[in-house]
Amino acid sequence: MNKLLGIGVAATMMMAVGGTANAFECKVTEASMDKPGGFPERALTMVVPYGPAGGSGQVAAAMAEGVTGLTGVAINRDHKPGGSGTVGMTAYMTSPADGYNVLEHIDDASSAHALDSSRPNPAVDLIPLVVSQVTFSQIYIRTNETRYDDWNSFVAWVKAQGGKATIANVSKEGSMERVTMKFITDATGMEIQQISFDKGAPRYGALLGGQVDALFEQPGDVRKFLDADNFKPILTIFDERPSVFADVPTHREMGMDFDPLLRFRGFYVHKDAPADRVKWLQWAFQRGYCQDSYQAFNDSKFMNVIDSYRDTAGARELIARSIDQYRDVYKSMGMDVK
Amino acid sequence: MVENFLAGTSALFGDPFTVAIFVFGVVGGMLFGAIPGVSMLTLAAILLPFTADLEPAQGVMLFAVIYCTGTYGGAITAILFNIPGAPENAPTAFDGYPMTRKGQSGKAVGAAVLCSAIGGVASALVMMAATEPLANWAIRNIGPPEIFALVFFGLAVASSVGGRTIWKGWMSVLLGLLIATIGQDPVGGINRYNFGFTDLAAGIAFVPAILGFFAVSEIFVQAEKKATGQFDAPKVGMSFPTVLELWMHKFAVLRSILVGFFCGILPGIGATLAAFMGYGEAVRWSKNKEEFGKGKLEGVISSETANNAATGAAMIPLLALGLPGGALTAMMVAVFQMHDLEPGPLVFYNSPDLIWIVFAAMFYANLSILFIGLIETKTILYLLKIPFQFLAPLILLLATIGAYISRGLVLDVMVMFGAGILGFLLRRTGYSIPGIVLGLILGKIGEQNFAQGMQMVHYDLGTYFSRPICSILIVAGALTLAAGIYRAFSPASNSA
Amino acid sequence: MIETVVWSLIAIIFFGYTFEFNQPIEIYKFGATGWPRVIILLLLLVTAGNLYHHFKYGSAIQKGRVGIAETDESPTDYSNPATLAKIIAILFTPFLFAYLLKPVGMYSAAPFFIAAVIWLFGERRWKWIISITILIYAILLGLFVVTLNAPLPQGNVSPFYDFSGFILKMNTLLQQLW
Repeated sequence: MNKLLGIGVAATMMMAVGGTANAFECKVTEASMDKPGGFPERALTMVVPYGPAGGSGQVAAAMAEGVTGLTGVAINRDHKPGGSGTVGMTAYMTSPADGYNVLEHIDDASSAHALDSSRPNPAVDLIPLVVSQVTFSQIYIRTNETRYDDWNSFVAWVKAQGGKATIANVSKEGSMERVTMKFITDATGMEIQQISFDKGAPRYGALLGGQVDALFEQPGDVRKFLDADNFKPILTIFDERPSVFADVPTHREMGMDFDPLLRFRGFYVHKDAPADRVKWLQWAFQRGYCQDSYQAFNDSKFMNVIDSYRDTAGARELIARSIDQYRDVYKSMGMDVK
Repeated sequence: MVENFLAGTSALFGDPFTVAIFVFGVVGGMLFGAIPGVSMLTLAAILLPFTADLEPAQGVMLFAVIYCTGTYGGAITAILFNIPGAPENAPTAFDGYPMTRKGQSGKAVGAAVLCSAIGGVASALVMMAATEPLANWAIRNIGPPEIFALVFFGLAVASSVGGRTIWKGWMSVLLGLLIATIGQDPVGGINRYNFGFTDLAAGIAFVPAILGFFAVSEIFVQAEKKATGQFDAPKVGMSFPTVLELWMHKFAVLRSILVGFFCGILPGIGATLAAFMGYGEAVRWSKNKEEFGKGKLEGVISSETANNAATGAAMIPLLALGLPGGALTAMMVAVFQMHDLEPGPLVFYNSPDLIWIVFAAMFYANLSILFIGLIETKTILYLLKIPFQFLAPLILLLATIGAYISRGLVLDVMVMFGAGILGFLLRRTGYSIPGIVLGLILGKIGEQNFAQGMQMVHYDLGTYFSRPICSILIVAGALTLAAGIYRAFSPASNSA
Repeated sequence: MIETVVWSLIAIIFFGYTFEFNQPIEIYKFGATGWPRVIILLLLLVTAGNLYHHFKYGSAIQKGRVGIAETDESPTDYSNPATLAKIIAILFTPFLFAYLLKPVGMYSAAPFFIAAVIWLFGERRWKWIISITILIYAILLGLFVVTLNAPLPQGNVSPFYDFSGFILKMNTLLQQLW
């Protein structure tokens, strides 16, 4: 146990050092901004289309803390989970566009629009205030796994099982996870049973308890298991090796030639909200990103391993690229793109 | 362990602000549990943003205390008004409310107070001693096939409770299961039965359904009685059970502690199934089965011991592995994360002080049910003196907030009032409302774990049954169903 | 018999709708329809069983049944149309309130709902109706808005949304006092 503890602590220290290795530079220079016409004179409402405990709930809480700390304006978070984010999005689109209502959303909004163009396009039908988290995915195995210990041995073992090996992920139709897994299985020629867990806890528990053979996830969501030395990454799905995971090969290094799909979370406002209010919100959320409390949060979630910040223009570009990417993939998968 | 516990105790009671939070949690949990229409989940959802301003230990401790006392508080309204404060209190109403109608509310509440405290304290003690090894055992031996098997067994037991005939019991559970299929399917995320409404993609949540079936429909029943001149205020009696009466039920208490603890330890199942199974097992082992549902003290004892025994157990996977077992423990994960902490294996090494403050607080919270519970119950009883035309709008408004707050969906309020109307219409038809609710709660968990289990064993039933815990539970569930089928066709069971 | 028809209709409607989402899931053999269709099949079977039981044994309670809802109440007399109308109003007023929450919001709708429920439950003294409505509304604002900042529905139609904004602005000013 002591040995395990030692490894865990050492891993924590190494990752903490790695996580803070990138010096942070705030891109918004104005430390304060006058409220346009007294706006906001009351608390903002932030619609969050996911529950409070998941990745979106946490980033919404951290950003609300950052913005409130900066401006003194309270933000009430209104969680509307369900339908892979569509329920919250629909509710937000019918709320008044007066700048008091803002939205948190993830890349699912982009992929939903790519599949069905009647769904709102976050880059066009909304104004992105800031994208504050951009991250990549990895494949994890248990640290004490004896059947394989790296990507190559894992692929060889999976092929030997004749389709009986299993991997846990969130495997909704058309999701980033499902599409990426299709890229991987096509590129390697391996056959693996994906098992969909919509909540994090049972998904991680399944790998921890040996119910599945591997896990598809983003590093920030499994940090506690990495720190505790329960899980280890064997593949990074990103174009280069992030310094924190310098010893983990990327998918390109392993011969898989596809553009990685990224997970990103950001904040939006109605496109027809008053322009002066939008400007103030852009300042508040982009500067909120620079707050120490928010940066500490992003550090703890491995969200500063690659550049997580996109202002309005950068966010629009990221979203537009993602939509094009998903649309191409869906068409190639034979899905019904509307 | 004793040293750590004492250290946790002194940290808990050494700081006046921490003590204030503890007392707030104890009283708040009991009140929100005991006020008809809202529950501990309502309080927890509202308090979540405020915990950011507290110390980590204070925030987690507050939620743990609300969990313990809220689970007890929900029994009071189940007994007095036939309105369970939370799903885990539903079986308490089976015998608790008939006892109130017989003027024995004091006896039922007294038993709930004592048994909640016993179940909770016993569970807290086991939690302190065995969190790590038990969590490690569960995580390795209980996977989706076992959880599905447990759900199957739980539903088989539930269908034998509450309906006028076994057929109606089964129809009730199946209706709950069917309602649970509304929303996205758990594997592919494909929308099912949304009938053109986007909000239905979120599915039907069980909190508004429970509020509707129990709280709202009870108000409709009372309103009907008032409209037709049959209103009869509940009788309030404060004669508490004697020591001898409780001693006679020592085996029921022990059995419910074991059942409650076992159910509580499993992620996603929690205290609700614990209460139903605690009650179901009491019926199974009783020589006087016919007396259940008509005001039998053992019914209240079994259900309340089991649901509080599940509270300590649910903390085991949460603290040791970071795996929450239900809605409230999932919110605790958010409290940890707001303070840059993660519940899980390292928390025992990184934050032992926090863990032992939480353990000590849960122990004392369960103990305080004994003392504060009775005083608070007397206060709640004053609610019965408020004229019903003034109490009803307050309950309906609180229920509206309770239904709305956890998902922020007006759909949930409509579901609640819809369930209220359905519950009102079904009451005299012999269907089992708890059966519908349990079907709804366990339907989603059951389908998801069935699918995952099938994928894991590659649709091979041989592999499925080679897992011992899984096969035992499936066989037990099948036997329960077989017994039901036998009774359904046996002339002896059907003769008047 | 009516009971059987109702249950069968539920099963048939739900079965019919399964064809709307009957698309295969690549990673799961039973797809999105497997589970609901099994439930529907079982529901039809037990509905048939219930019908068989009713014809053979009537509607008496089976031996050994536990936790059965109260059955000792005398049947309600609905011969007076006014009573029936009142019960229907009691059942559907909350539903109307729920329906209005999205456009009108909690802050504007709640006082009317509270007063309506008090009236429907038999109170006719206007002073009491108004004072209890104000008291309950004050409890709502004091506990959930001022103390707990709970995000209640604000509505999305003017002037109701503006009124919600006014209440929240007052709350902000109040909170700034301490």
